[in-house]
Amino acid sequence: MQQPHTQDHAAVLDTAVPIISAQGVDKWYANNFHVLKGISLEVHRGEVVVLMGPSGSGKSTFIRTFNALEAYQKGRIIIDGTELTPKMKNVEAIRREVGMVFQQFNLFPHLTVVENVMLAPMEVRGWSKSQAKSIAGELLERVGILNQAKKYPGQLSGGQQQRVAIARALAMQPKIMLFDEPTSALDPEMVREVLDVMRNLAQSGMTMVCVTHEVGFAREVADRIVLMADGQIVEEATPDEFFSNPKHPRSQQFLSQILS
Amino acid sequence: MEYTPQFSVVWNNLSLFWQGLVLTLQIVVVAISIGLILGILGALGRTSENRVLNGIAIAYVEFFRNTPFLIQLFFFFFGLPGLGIRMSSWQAAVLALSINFGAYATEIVRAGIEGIDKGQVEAGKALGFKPMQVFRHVVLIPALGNIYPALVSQVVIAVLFSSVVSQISAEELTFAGNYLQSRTFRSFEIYLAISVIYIGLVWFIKLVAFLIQRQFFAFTRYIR
Amino acid sequence: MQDFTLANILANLLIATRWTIALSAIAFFGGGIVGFIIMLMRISPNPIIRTISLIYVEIFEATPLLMQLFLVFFGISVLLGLNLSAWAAATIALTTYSSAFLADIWRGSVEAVPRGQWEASRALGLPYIKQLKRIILPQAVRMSIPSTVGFAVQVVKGTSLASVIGFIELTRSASSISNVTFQPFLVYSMAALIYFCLCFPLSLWSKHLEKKFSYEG
Ligand SMILES: Nc1ncnc2c1ncn2[C@@H]1O[C@H](COP(=O)(O)OP(=O)(O)OP(=O)(O)O)[C@@H](O)[C@H]1O
Ligand SMILES: [Mg+2]
Repeated sequence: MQQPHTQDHAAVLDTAVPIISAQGVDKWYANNFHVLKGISLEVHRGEVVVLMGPSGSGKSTFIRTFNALEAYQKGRIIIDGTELTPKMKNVEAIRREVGMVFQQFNLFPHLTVVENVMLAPMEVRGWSKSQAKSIAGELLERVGILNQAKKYPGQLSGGQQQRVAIARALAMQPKIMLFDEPTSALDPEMVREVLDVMRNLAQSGMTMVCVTHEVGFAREVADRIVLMADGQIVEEATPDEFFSNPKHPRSQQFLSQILS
Repeated sequence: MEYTPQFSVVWNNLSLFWQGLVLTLQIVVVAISIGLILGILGALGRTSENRVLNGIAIAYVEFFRNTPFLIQLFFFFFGLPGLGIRMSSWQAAVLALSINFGAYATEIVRAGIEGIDKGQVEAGKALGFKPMQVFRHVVLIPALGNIYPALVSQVVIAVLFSSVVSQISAEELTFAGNYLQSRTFRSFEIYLAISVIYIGLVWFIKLVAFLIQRQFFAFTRYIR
Repeated sequence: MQDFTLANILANLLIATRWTIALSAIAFFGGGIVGFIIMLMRISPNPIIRTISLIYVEIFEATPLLMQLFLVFFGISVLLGLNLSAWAAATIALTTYSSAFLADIWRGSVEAVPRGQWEASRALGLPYIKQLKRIILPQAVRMSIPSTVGFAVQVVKGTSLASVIGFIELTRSASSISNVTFQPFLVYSMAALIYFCLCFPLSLWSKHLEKKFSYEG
């Protein structure tokens, strides 16, 4: 487990090497609940992977291991050439490169919209205020919230908050974006505005792992659908295959539930 | 017998009232500072997993919130010398006020700690903040904003309670009033004047607190 | 010098505790009645009445209880040429003190009743008094019970200040006993314990009610 840091850079930069590589990952929660059972997954640069599966199957837990918000006990996870280990000194260096968008937005309530976006670039990347401001302006423009920049998060609708949250994550110029059910907490009429932003992001070539049950989005944007059940991956397929011809009984059962 | 109030006793002794007010402020400021530290320590104990610390913190809070301040004061000033712990009336006053404030502050700070949004902490981590940065940029200000109103109320109560320390002859505003009263017997005028000073002080604190709130915690209005 | 045994001291303190309880009860109910009226004024549609009651609350919440006691006991007696007993003075001062805080607590509860309840009861054509009596107050009362019980603790503790104007209750009695026995540590500890036995159950009850109501929603 201690070896991977010796990898040479040529290999790291090779596009054939996956940017996310999970190999036989096992995780138990403190109460001995076996939540991830030997999961393996590879994601390549520019790929959009949609993770689906019934509630409690471990989707959130799994993607949260990619930025070390959750620890794991067995297997390896290598992000952009760096293995995540329990003893690693600088998790922050990984997290800088991996943006995350949460179901509950989790904007900082005491900062205005633009300050939310500027904070991490300034504090973590050490950018100047004016640099951060101009990037924040661009991103807010891109997610269509620039006219609300001076407001506090509490003054925005859920859909607007989630778009700010995406801009905030993008401001760190991450190599990977993780989305954990970004539209589940939204009223139906706001789902679209968030999915539109995500679709544009995917088209710009961002590597994305999205937990979502938005079938339309998955069909159109995903390169691959991954179905999880009971802490395992039961099926990996292209959207076409997955939605028209699911192979595994758990996939069929899951699809019949969400499509009904 | 008709009694005509004569407020000259107040005008002629303004400097005495002023001294009293300054002494009151000294006691209160020192006591609140110590009390806040006690409150933070108490809250850490109260939220810790360690049963002993937790128990000590609970006992501290419940005991001092469920007994009168005057009894606490008498206990420190008259009772503790029985154990060989002697202090001046000023020390006893500050100690009693600090410990009393600390008990309430413990509960307030604890509520602040428990009110911290775990999701926001995670968002901070996910952006690459180090633990200290998460505390400084993500946790501290919202938590302060949440506990701020309760803390201000408690500060006001500490100011009002400080008048009680006159009962162990600690010199402050009420003591000054008692002193003047015993020389002039103009109780109505003097106690009215002192009341007005306390009211002015409390309103001043509330005004400053409001301005601070508006300047630094304006966001709390938008948190549901 | 009279010999005081532990039991002896405790007995004396407990006898005085009766007056602490009596004064607390009177002040709490007196404060409740006045506080209720002030609360009604605080939520009145008439801005002048609202302002008057606001000033009342702001003044009495900003004056030390000790000062209110002094003003009533020494000040008013001198001013009006009355010879107020410590009983009367303590009752008056503790009543005004409690009324201000209770009015504030209860106003908070009334304002916590959702706006829609007022609108719905108005839409039903109920006159103001009936809106209050039938719709708003029953809901507000429920919400206010935990903090009202919590405030009772403040009243019990507040009565200790009546000792300062010579009202003989638990604190006063403790002072006298400690003066004769020269055992202040013991006597004040026991007095504190008695207060604790009075207040702690109320605090627990208040916390319990708060939990219960917050679950029931
Ligand atoms: N901290 C924890 N301690 C113990 N068990 C946990 C913990 N967090 C989650 N679990 C359990 O682990 C399982 C997987 O949780 P996870 O949140 O990863 O599922 P999910 O697939 O994201 O579900 P959902 O669709 O509901 O978000 C669930 O059964 C959950 O109850
Ligand atoms: Mg989940």
